[in-house]
Amino acid sequence: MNPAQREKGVRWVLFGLFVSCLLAIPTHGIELGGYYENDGIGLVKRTGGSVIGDMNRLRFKLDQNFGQNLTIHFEPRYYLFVKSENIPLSGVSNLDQLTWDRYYLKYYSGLANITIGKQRIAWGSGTIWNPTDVFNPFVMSFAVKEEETTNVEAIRLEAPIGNAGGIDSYIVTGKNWSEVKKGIRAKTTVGLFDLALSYVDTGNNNFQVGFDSSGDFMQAGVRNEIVLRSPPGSNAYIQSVWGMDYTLDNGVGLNAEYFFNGLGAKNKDRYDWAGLAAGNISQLGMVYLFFSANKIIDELTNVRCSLISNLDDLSYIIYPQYSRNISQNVDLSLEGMWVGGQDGSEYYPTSTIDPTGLAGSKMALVRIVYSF
Amino acid sequence: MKYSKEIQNPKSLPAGRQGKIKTRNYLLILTLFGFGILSLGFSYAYAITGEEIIKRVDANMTFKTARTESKMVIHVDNDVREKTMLSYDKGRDTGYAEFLSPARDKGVKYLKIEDNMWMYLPSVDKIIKISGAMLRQSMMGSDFSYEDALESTKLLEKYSANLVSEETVPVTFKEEGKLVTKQRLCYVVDLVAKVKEITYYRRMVWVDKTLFVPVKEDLFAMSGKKLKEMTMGDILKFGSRYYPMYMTMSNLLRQNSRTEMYTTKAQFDIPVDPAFFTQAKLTK
Repeated sequence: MNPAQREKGVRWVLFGLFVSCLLAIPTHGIELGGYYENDGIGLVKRTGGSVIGDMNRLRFKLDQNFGQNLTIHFEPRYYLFVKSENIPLSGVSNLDQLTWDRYYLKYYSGLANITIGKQRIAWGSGTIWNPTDVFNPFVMSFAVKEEETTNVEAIRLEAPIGNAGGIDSYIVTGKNWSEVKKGIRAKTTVGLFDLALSYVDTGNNNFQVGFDSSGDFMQAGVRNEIVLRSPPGSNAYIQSVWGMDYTLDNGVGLNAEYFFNGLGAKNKDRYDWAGLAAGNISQLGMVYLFFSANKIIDELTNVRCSLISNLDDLSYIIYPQYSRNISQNVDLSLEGMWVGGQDGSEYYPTSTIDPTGLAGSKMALVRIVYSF
Repeated sequence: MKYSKEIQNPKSLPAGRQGKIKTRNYLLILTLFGFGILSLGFSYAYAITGEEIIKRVDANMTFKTARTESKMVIHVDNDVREKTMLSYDKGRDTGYAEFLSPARDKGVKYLKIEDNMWMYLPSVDKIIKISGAMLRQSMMGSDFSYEDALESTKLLEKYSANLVSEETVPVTFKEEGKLVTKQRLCYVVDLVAKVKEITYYRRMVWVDKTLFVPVKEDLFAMSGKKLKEMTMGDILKFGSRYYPMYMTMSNLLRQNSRTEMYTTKAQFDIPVDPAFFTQAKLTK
């Protein structure tokens, strides 16, 4: 047995011990839940050739309540990915090891809630684009589980004002004060609309000011986010999202979102591929559109088709899904992905930009989730 | 009693007996139709208006506060799914609900304040406003929509109510721990929307004439198409008022589906922490 195999074996033993400990803990005051998910993935690469993989996700959610006002939450996960060759999956990192995805202590009082630890801080109202959310400004939520998005170690204070309003603020921990992200958001409800103003110091003299809203207009759901960002040494720019959803009389639900990216380029020859690879930016172009249609066939079955397109280079991703709750706690989902566009476009890059040939692949996925 | 059950489900009987039941049903329909004609003819004689009936229903069904534990049973063909939930209500305009099971839905919470509704998803630790189109979507995979859950006392602001007839319908009651079906005389109230931009343009409500509890409701689109059917039963007395502990809803746009809602425990007019009716409670 080589050292790598030994290390992997030790990890499994530790994980087994952790699971055993969880099962052995007296259940008084403790809530234990989670899920096991299996994703069978088949890819046909843009450059030819195929890849198959099997993703296994095990996630525990553990809450220990101390009286009425104090909770400790732990969310460890273990991902095991068996594949015919290395496939980078969006939102999936730290494979084959135990990862503490979220862990925090939450204290509730009549005046405010305080959360300390690794947590998700999700601001904004957009479905796909959330420019007011500096941690997860872009999530293909139709394809990627939002649970897989970035969590941050922070101290968060939420002070409710009235029934539906309040002040939400956070400070990310672990760095120098001048470098860490610090944000504050004030929210209120006026009529059928939720309105919020936010300010985030993103560190190193960067800041953003944002506004977001969601509400009801002419029987349609409408939502909007707009931010002004001011990076040091370069021009300020705007990002905005305008979304709308509507349900037809036959039960078909429609959802559309338009995104303007003031930092993007109209011409694909001027795309900042290096910035995208480094994670400094989330989009290359300026104008985007998302559209989806879903139909609930019966109470257990849903079909959906989503389209996201960069309107500057006309590249696109089409993502059909069929999902069914096959038993009380087991869900089955069949999904596909079709990518199109000109060579060198955002969703269909050239081999120079993406030597792996994985970007622009066609994909089929079978997902089974067992919740416990 | 047997007669009532057979009327409710004649298909469960042998073909010969179905024929007899059908004949009896026709007789009953003819009788009811006769009553309907009579009641139309003497409609001027009603001592109560449709509006007053709806107000009496609200007065009977609306409690200052309520804490209820419920079981939702969703039937799709032969598949059955069960969900349990805990709810707190203040009047009919403010409510909080939390799903306790199954595991896949545990921790999902809803808050309703007048015409606004929010949902909390624990998996992403996010509060989502349910508005516009989403209100018409299925709530937690049931035949109920979010809009159905938002229903409030503002019914008379949106609809004009007319008493059109009186009919006898079978209603279940719980007496000494057993369910019994009784034929009850009901007001039939026709609610027609005052505005066109509304999901249910017309609603026919059967209201128990003595107890002022709705026992049946049909919901129609503007085109006249029937969208949903709702029945209520297992009526229990709380103090001087009556409350249905059982409800079914069928979304007729879908085939072979039905959702039953059982109230397994109910407490009314008890002290409830006002914090339940805040967004801060959703993330707790």
